Amino acid sequence: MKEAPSIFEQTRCLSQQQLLDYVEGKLPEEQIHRVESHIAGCVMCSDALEGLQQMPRTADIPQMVKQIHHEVHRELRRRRGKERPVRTYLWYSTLIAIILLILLIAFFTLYFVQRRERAAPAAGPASTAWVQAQWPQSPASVSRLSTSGRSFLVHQQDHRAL
Amino acid sequence: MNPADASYWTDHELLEKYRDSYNNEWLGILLERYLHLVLGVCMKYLRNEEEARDGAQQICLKVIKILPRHEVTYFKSWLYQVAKNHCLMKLRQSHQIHILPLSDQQWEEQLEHSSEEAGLLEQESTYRYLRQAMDLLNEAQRRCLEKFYLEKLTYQKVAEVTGYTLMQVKSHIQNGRRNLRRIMERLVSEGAGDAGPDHSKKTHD
Repeated sequence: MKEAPSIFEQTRCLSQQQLLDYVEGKLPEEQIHRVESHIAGCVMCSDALEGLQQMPRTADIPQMVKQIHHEVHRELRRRRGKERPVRTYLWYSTLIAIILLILLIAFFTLYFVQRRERAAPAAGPASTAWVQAQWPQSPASVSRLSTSGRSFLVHQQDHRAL
Repeated sequence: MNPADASYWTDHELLEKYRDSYNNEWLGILLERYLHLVLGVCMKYLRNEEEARDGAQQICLKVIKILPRHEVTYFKSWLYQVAKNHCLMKLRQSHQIHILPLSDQQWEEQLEHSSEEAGLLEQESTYRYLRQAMDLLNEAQRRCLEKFYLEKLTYQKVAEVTGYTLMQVKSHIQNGRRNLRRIMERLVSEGAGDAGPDHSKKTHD
């Protein structure tokens, strides 16, 4: 049975012209057999052929297809860039989440640094110099000045002396 | 690569290009390939020229809308199921039919079925069982298949030779081909060496 493989041979789907020529009986026998071999194994082409055979005027089919084609391309142009796959949405969501996280970390870092500075406004070497400039006679009055910016302490007795 | 040069690309390649770039031009080429078939399918089920044209247009717009959300492997089979489902839904809405459209699971089953067929046919050993499988077909299907595939006759000629109507010939060839595949699958899975064909299991549809 050397011709056997052609029973299950998968061929390219029928073109509009092939279908129309078949419906209108314009094909030679060899081509008819090729079309029929294809529809024996392709349910879509088989259904389509059956449908097109029911058309009252087969000559109108190309025009109808052209109209649908026009509408489809108009819609495709209109939707250009609108359709995004789920994976693109996931990618964008992850990116936005990362950016938000970075912004959040930056905000809290700045917030805590400012809070520390407010809690210790006179901290640091500049403040020490200011205290000494104000009370030059009692340099020892500033017994302990925190340089960490948290607090500074002045001895009670020095306060009294001032 | 330019979409204008894509006429010889396979559906799979075009689908991949569309998935990679989400450039609608690729989808346009794919749809254009099957527009006439979608129109024909709509005409078969809706039996009205105007409704078929509107239906085909709606199906294409639906495909444009839902394709990005579906993992489609076989575009043509998927498109056919979308088209058929749309038509059955229309008929159901107009109370002309009481068949439920196929669910997503049923679609997948059908698609798996077609891919299994391709897999089976890739096996060279499959053809060893063809003669045995032919013998297991019923008389009408075997005669029509032999006339059509071996003698290369057209449906019309097969009808003339066998005395069946054109519709019967078409049906015998399509059903015979399907049954032949099933029998061959069974023979392949059983293994030809284990046992000869079981002639009691002849097909009757």
